[in-house]
Amino acid sequence: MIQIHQLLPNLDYGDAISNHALEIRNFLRQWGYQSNIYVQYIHPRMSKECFYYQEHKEVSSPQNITIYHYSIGTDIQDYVKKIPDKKVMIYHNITPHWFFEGFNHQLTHLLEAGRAELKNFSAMPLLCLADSEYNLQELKALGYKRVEILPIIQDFSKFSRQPAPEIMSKYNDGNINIIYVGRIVPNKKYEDLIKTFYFYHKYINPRSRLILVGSYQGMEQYFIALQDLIKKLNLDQVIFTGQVALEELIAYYRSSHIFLSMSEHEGFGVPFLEAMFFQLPIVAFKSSAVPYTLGRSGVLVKEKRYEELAELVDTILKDQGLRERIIENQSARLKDFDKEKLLPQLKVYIEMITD
Amino acid sequence: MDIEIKDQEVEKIMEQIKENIGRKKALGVYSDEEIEWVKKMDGKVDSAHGPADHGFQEQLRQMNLDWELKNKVPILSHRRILGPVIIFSKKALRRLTKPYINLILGEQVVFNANATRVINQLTAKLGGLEGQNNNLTKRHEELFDKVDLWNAETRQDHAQLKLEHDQLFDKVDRWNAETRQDHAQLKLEHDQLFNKVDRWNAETRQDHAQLRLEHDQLFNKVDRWNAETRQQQAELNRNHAELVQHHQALFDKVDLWNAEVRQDHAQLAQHHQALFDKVDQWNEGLQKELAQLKDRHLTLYQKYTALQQENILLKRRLDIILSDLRKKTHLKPELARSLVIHQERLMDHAYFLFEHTYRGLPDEIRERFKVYLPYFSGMSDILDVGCGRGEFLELMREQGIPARGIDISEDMVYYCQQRGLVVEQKEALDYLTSLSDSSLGGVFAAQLLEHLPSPSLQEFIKLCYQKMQPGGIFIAETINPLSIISAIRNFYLDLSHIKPLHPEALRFLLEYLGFKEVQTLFLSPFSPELILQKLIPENSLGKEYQGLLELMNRNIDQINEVLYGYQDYAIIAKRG
Repeated sequence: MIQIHQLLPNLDYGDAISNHALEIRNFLRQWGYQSNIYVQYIHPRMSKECFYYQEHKEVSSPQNITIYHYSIGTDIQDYVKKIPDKKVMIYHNITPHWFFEGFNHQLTHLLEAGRAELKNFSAMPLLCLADSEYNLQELKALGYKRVEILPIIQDFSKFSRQPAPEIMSKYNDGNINIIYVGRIVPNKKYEDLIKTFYFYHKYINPRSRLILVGSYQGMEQYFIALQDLIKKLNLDQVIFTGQVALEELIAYYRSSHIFLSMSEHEGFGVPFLEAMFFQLPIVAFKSSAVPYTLGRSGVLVKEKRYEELAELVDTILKDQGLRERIIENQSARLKDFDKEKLLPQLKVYIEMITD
Repeated sequence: MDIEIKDQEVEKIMEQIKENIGRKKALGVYSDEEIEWVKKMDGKVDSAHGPADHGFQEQLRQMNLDWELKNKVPILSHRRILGPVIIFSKKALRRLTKPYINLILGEQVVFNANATRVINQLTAKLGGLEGQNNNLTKRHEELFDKVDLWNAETRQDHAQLKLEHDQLFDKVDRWNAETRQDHAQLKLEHDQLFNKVDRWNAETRQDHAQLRLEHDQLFNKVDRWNAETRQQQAELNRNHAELVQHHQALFDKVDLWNAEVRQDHAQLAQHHQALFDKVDQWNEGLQKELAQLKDRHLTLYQKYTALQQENILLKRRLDIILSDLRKKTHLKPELARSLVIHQERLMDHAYFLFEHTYRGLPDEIRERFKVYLPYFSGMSDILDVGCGRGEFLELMREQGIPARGIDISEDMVYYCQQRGLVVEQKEALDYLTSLSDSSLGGVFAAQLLEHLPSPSLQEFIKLCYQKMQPGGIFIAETINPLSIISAIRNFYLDLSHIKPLHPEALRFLLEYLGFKEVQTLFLSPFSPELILQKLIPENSLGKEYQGLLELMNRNIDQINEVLYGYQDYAIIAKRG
């Protein structure tokens, strides 16, 4: 019996990619495959779920399949090149390096090199699994032959936990809360969220706040620049939560009224699915994988005119009928990402290789 | 702006948005300039507003670039022919040394990474702190503005207060003026009052002079009256001297009468003395006669005592003789039986003597028995069981009540018969048995029951009941054992006593055997001087001792009751 193992840089607790990998592993095991996860960095809470990638050598074999999540700046990528296994690449995308220019030179360099390497090894995997149509197009443009789509698999049952009570009581105060969730990185264009909020808060509804949930670790320069912008705009209701625990994330979603995204590059955009789950109307800038993930749901904007965006947000919040229609569409779209639908696709892809 | 939304009302929404913005611009809420100003702001760090100067930002940027110590120098060569060879060998060398260099640099890289991260975080925090500082400065300025505002308000309030203060002072001045006016008015009234008072004073002085004049006139009058009074007194003195003379004459007369009375008295005293002398002579004669009688009585008593002693000696001798005779073996049975009877009778005789000595004199006993008379009044056929010296029978005879007696003692029977009483020598139970039923009117038994053993006692009472007529009276007197002294002194004095009888036990026995209307009569109390004496309270004693005294006297009463209770009691019953 062949074995199917996964290689990825790190297995974190609560991280979307890590959960995705665990879902895949569990599904493979259900089919009867021997399946493990091998990583370079292990979160202490996940130590029972995975092995160090060096131990992968013991299971490495030309008969076995290795699914590797493409990454940059780790040793995993170098290791994958050396093993004889049948290889399947999962591509979560690489952010274009120019977003980081002026904020993190090192990362800018790494991203640039990573994209170059992606092109060089287009022949290595037998099969590529892209998160989205957008990623599929990108890989095909880089010369990859066999590319299929496997959206990120999310288990929403984790959101049934109790929300953090202190956040619930603090932010459910009658004010309108506009939320965005994502690491504070330049491609997500936090400055545009802030500028939109400027018009909404100053000229439409002063009883409002912008809640920005995400870690800014490694992106301090960008964070400082955002603070500077907020100061210049004289805004006092922009909340940076930093990295949060799951209960806190649930509380922020439950306390919010609308999900606003100005991101200009998303490989998939897990938070869009979360916003759908929490029934928040989504207003998003149309870029990269965003329209693919939203399908025909949510509201996509093609330009960033802040004063108009502010009015759009206000219209959605005030027009209950419109808001309900948006949420209804989003809920319908969310069903496409049901893991009961996605996992059988994975089975088909695996069988394509084994046959 | 173009939007994509799966909704039929997209255009309507966009129109609404545009209309809103147009209205805001028209109202001057915001201008195109402001929109442009916001748009042009970039997300880059502005050194003018940044947390540190540009040099610091550059160094930080450099640090973020260099922390990993990677050899980023590209391997190049400008030589046309040897170039590829040199590049190849340099690359080979770099690849060969890389693991060793990484080994050494590894830890340094980790440190650099940590240090860089810390500095980045500190920078971020610094930014945050500066933001807070600016906020504080802003708030500080706002506070200053507020303080200025308050100052202005306070100044205004102060001016207002000053105005009110001045008004108050004016009022006070007005009040002062009014008060002064009132004061002058009051002073005027006061002066007028003083003038009035002066006038009244002058008038009073005039009145006083007038009164003094009248007073002097009165004194003169009194002096005149005094002179008249003195004259009258001299006259009275003269009258008094005359009265004293009369009095003296009267005294002389009384003295004369006194002398006469004394003379009469002396004569009477002489008569009286003569009478006394005569009485003394008679007394002397009587004394002599009494002494002679006493001598005679003493002689008789000595003779009596000697006879008694002689009697005892003779009885003893007789007893010895009888005992000796009974020892003889050849005696005839009749004679032997006779001897026994004689000896027993000798003992009875001794009891007769004992009773004579200790029971009390017959007259005293008879006197005591009078208490029973009312019970037997109008009855007949009374039997006195154990009649002894017959005191009860004598009493019955005196009262005319037919009565007879029996006694076991020959001497007692003899003594009674000598006194003319109907008495037989009989044993009680035998005698009663021999009588026909309901033949007796009553039964009297004094100091008898304590001589009977228990079965005989019951038998005796039963027989009495049987032989008495219905309505007949039964009276039995015995020693009261409830009185400890009586029990000790009286019961145990007599050797022939067998058993003391409790009054209640006797009452029970009588009722049990059919008697009705049973009553107990306690008799012969100790004379008051014989019993324990009570303490007599004195008035000087304190209240607390009064209580103690009363308690003590109650205790004495209780002890007296137990020790010195009635000496005898009688049980009186009727046959139903």
